[in-house]
Amino acid sequence: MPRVMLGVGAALLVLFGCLALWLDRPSPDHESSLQALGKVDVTPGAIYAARFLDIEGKSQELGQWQHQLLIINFWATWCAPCKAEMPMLAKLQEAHGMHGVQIVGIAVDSRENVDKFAKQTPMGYPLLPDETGAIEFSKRLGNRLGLLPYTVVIAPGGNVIFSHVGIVTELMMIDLIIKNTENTAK
Amino acid sequence: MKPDDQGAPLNSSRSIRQAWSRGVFFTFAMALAHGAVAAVQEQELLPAEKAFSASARLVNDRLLELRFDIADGYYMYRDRFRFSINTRAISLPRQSWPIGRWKQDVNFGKVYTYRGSVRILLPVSSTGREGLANAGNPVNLVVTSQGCADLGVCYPPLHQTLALESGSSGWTMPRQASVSTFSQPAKPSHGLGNRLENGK
Repeated sequence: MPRVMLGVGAALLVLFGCLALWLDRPSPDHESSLQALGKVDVTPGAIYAARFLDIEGKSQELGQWQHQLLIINFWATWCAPCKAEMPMLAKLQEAHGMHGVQIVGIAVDSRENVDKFAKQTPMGYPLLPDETGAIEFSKRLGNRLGLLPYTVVIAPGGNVIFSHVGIVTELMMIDLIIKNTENTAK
Repeated sequence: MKPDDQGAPLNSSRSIRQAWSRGVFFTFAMALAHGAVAAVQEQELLPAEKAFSASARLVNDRLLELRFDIADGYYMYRDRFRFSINTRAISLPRQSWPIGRWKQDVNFGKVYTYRGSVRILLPVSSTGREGLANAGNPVNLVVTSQGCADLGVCYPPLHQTLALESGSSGWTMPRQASVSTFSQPAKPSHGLGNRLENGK
């Protein structure tokens, strides 16, 4: 009898483990992850009107990507987790750029640092340094504590449909891309 | 009793124990793996000034001790500390740095970090004959630092201002609000900040 109870106990333990993981799974409803973060305090018009200088000193307005699924990744050259996720973002841009996806990396960093980084590690998507304004912009997009990395996904038209503090996974991004580029096509 | 009679219960009991330990291992392994890939819950993270709490005291009229109390699960980079002062009458000739812990970072190579708490000694000296007396009041020492959380996020550079009163006999630190914190340097952005401030 004790052996049976031990066996049943072990099975229950595994079952509870699986149940806990299932209950704590990421929600497919992206708005729920948005609610967990700060409030988005910027209108679509203001998002698209925001301008940044690129590493060549040219002004880039976010509005040029208003008809695409815009993925804004806030990062910095001094941020190790940011640099860890960037190759995956570059891969996504390469694979999905032609399907209406545009990734933009806004750096809380100096132009010199970003330029040096871009020469060593070309990303395949625009890197826009703004040492002083980028954090403020990310806060307006829901990054309450100004943490990095921070990623927001903006649907064509300007609605923020996803925001995430910390490293994003490829699965998370592909899920969003598939759902939202399909919607765009319809 | 035959060996087989003895062996069967032993094997059976061993296999149950193995199943039990595998079950426990599996559960913990799954929980750990889940924790590693789970999204960072922003609510779990502290504001920078609480994660990296700064305080300062004057050891004597020429020596300032700066202390950071670093919350569990957070760390600061030794080489990201910077000091600046709003007067040329004063210099910060040498800083005494604890060595910290080093770690090999994939992106940055060998880096030194602090955890728990760190104490930095700042000798303060005058650069001219008039020196301390003419340094102006208050003297603002801006400490820039940067740290991250083990959960996989980093904080932007933190700028903390220490207000010091200078006088002919040396330095004093006002008791009230000697440390103020701001997360952005007080210089204008090239356009974006103003654009957002002006509305939507």
